[in-house]
Amino acid sequence: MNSPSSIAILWLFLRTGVRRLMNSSALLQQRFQKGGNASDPTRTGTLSRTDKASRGSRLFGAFLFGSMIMGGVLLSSTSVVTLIESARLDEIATSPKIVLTIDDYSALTSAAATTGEGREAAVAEAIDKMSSDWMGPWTKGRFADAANKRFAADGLEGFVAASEDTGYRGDFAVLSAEGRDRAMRSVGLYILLFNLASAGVALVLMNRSLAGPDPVLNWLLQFPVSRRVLFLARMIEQTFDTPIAFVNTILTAMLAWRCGMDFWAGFGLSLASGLSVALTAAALRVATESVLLQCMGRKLRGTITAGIVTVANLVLLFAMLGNGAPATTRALTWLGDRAPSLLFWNPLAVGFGSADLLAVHRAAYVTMLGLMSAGLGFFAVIACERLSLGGLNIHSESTRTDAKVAAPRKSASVRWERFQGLIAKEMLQVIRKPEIMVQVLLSPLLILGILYLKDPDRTLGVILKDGGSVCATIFAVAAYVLAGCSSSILAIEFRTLWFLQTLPRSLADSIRTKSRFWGTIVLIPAVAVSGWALATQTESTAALALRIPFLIAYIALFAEICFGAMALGASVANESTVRFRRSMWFLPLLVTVECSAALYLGMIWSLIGTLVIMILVAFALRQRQVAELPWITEPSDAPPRQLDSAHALIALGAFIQIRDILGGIMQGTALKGTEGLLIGFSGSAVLVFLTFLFWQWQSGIRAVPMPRRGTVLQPMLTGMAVAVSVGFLWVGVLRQNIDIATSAHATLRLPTSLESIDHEAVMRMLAFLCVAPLFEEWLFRGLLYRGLRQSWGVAASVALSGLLFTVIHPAASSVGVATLAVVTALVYERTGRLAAPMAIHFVYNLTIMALWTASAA
Amino acid sequence: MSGLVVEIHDLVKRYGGFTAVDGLSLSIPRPSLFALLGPNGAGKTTTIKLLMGMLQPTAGTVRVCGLDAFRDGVAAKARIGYLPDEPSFYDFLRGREIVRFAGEMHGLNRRTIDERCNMLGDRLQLSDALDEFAENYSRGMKKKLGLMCALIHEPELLILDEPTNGLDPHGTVVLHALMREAVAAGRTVLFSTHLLEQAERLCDRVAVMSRGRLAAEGTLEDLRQRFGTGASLETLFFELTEGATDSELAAPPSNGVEATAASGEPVR
Repeated sequence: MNSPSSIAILWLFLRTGVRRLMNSSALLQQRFQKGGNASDPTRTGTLSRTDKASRGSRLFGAFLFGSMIMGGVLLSSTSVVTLIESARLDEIATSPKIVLTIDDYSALTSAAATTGEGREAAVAEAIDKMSSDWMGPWTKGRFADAANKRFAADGLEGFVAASEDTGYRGDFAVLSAEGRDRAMRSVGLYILLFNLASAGVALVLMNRSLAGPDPVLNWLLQFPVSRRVLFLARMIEQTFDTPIAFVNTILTAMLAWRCGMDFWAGFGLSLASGLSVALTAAALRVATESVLLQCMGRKLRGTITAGIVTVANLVLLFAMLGNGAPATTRALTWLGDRAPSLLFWNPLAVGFGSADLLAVHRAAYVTMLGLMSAGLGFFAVIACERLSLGGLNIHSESTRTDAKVAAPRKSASVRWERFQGLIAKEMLQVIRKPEIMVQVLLSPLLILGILYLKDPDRTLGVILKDGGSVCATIFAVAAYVLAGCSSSILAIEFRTLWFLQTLPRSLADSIRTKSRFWGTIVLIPAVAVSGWALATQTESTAALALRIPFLIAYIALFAEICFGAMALGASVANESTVRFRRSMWFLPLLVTVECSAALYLGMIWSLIGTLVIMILVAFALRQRQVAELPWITEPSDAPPRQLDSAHALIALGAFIQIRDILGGIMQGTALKGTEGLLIGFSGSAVLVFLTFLFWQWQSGIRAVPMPRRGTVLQPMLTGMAVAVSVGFLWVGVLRQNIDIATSAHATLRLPTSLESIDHEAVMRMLAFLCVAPLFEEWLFRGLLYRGLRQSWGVAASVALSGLLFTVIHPAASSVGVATLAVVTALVYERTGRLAAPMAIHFVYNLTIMALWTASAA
Repeated sequence: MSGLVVEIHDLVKRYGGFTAVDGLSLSIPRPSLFALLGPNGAGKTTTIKLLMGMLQPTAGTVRVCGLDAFRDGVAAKARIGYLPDEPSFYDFLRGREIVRFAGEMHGLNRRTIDERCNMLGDRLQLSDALDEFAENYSRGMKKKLGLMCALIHEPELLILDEPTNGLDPHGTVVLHALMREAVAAGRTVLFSTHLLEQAERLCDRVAVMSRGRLAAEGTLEDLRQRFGTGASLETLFFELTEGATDSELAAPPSNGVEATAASGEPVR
């Protein structure tokens, strides 16, 4: 053995492993195959867009990764707490007295001491407060019921304060020693389940290297190192390949602290356990990989890995979502009572299962844990070495020897004869790639199933509440499927890009065909389900009949948007590596939220507005595909990107979302009512504007220059005159027909005297006279109209941007607003300066406000 | 229709600061069997990709069958059959299904495809493997499958990038026969290679590329006469590409430095 080589390889794998953990975009493979750095001008290979990944996208990636881990930890800790609470509930049911913490007991005593009418209410409140810290979805109510019943029966006699400091915190503290043991066992089982699932996910990651020859391993074999070192290095790398170490460390730390450990002891223990769990998972993975590769043919291998993928996904989904359910909590507790203690003595259960382990023997257990995982790793490496005695079976081992060459299957070919070209290929892809079927088509059903299991009334009740919720759910599920399959399917397609490129059709065409195929696949069940809802939900026939056409149009357009956006976000590094820019998920996500909300609310105005937005997005994407997709393999030469209408729509979508969220948050503060909404409006506008500017500055994208011609003053004054006079007439019409005091226009008032200028009046003037003219003109004329006119011409762009501008305003003001939109767009076209429309908008808003103030007076 | 299948005029292709093809002009009459020769990194594959419309020229024009290869790519591709150096295929399709898909994309009907597929499969000795997943093929088999896809629509221009790489002797013989038959049927074959002996045996005309430029072009007779009769192709080849070899020996990173200096970027 050559020790410098061994050290080099170990160091390399350690580095790449950590790098994978930190940044999933930096795959080992890519480093080897591309070599060099991106700025090296002598490189003849293709420059990939990922080489130039901006700091922003890296930060975004890190953010996604971090939030994914935190999400996992939070979901799991909820279930752990539910398990402990369930043990407590069991104890309450059997013991004569309910044990409370000293604080809770004193609160109850003082509540019980109140005399007269308020006593019952005070006691109920005290009990509610005790249980309000509880996180479990259903245990809280059960505890309150039990405690209230006990108080009604026995009074204060039914309760007792926890006598001594047990060294445990939270619910552990009020459990008896046996109860604690039971809770620990069920928690131990849960942690075992969770870690097994994470290990399964780690196994899933090896899928790629099993599917074909592993170029990295192949390449590394040329160096003078023993197989043992190679496998060891691979194991070290894979220890860090999944977030399992992170997740387990945080989860265990939270539990250790609940068991009364001080901060550093708990942290040390959890770090040790996290590392041992990750090492064990890596050992399992390396061993499984080796067994599968060395001992099985490709077909069997494929079947087994697909099975692992499915089971691991299911278990993980269950461990994350389905665990808090009453049924599963009971099942885990029941199993915990019966499981032999020895079961918990392994790294994957991290010692939970015996209350003593963490409290008393923790030093011994951490040592054991480390030894066990190291031992498992050692055996895994030895087993891999043994198995590969006859040479590493990592080349593209022919399967033709074990899979008998079959005679052409007549029946199968006849069956597919009616499908031509692309459709036949897509169908084969769906049928022969079980992971696409399972992960993409079945997972929404699985999620729905798990939610149902968790709380039958809430899931179905919420979905079937009315026509709006039915349609919104159908759309959300369809969007999930489309978003999931677009990237996985395009990844397959782009791996054989040369093939697509040699066919006599443009790449944009191929992708559009693909989106149509998948849109149809998703539409069929969506139409079926909505038809079923229409037939059975007789009370909401009208609501459904209004929404279903929009639902269908939304899904069809969403398919195109999803595939179009994904294709544009793809970068092809080499013939086996395709990546998708993460920021491309923003667009489908925004569209999904927007469409679901529109379908849920069912206002015809917002339904139409959303449809217009989707059409615009789809067309903008088509345009960009034609311009940008030919560069997919040579992005270093890609044409300079320019701002287009899709960017405007993203900004608009973000503005609406943030406005509503901010407004909603304000409702919870002192700034309730109109003032909160106004702050939401202005805050969102400022935030979106600044973010957009920052992004533009970061990415270097420029706007298309707008031709400046002629003078500004004359067209501006003409425009002002037209807009203001139509607005004047329209306010007159409205005044005859609506009740001013209750209409939305009640907020459009100017203060009539100096004394009446309060916070709200200032906010109102700021929003309507300053933010609205500046922001809306920048967005609708400066971004949207300017983007549209590049390809649509003036007339269509004025109409489309005007329509969108009108639908986002209240229906009552439509005529005035539509006129304003047309006038400002025309003036912008004429002058080429954004200041003119801004001035017109300001004067228009001022006039309208003055008119409403006058009519209210 | 003009008698030229391929017209390349002042073609330049840059990747960032690196110039892969530098002022190439070339025309290929129909029918002919044309070889593109040159050492590794001479720009052969880039030229072929430009011909396929997979890349857009930085400057200059590429016309195939009278059509702009990039802008009228779709119409041009209907007339071209292409075999890349290392073809890769969908991992969920069998060999036969891939050929069928390629044929259907070129608008052929099922019966024609199957006839041609069986004929080609028999000749290339790939029939037995056609019902196996193409991902499992060896390199040579993938090459044969790619060749079948390229030939299935009987294209006017057949572009083959290093076609004999990885092929067994039998495959090579069949490939040569297929190429000659195509030319006999009035079609044109353009292939790149660095096997001089192969070019010598097959071609009417050759072009020698060196560092992105055209070093020489013409019939073999022309070249021999120009560089002294009796010279073997090998001698010719080294003479034509010698300049590059010498300067590379003298200053190893010259390629990069030159490209950097030419594009005006600071030398790092």
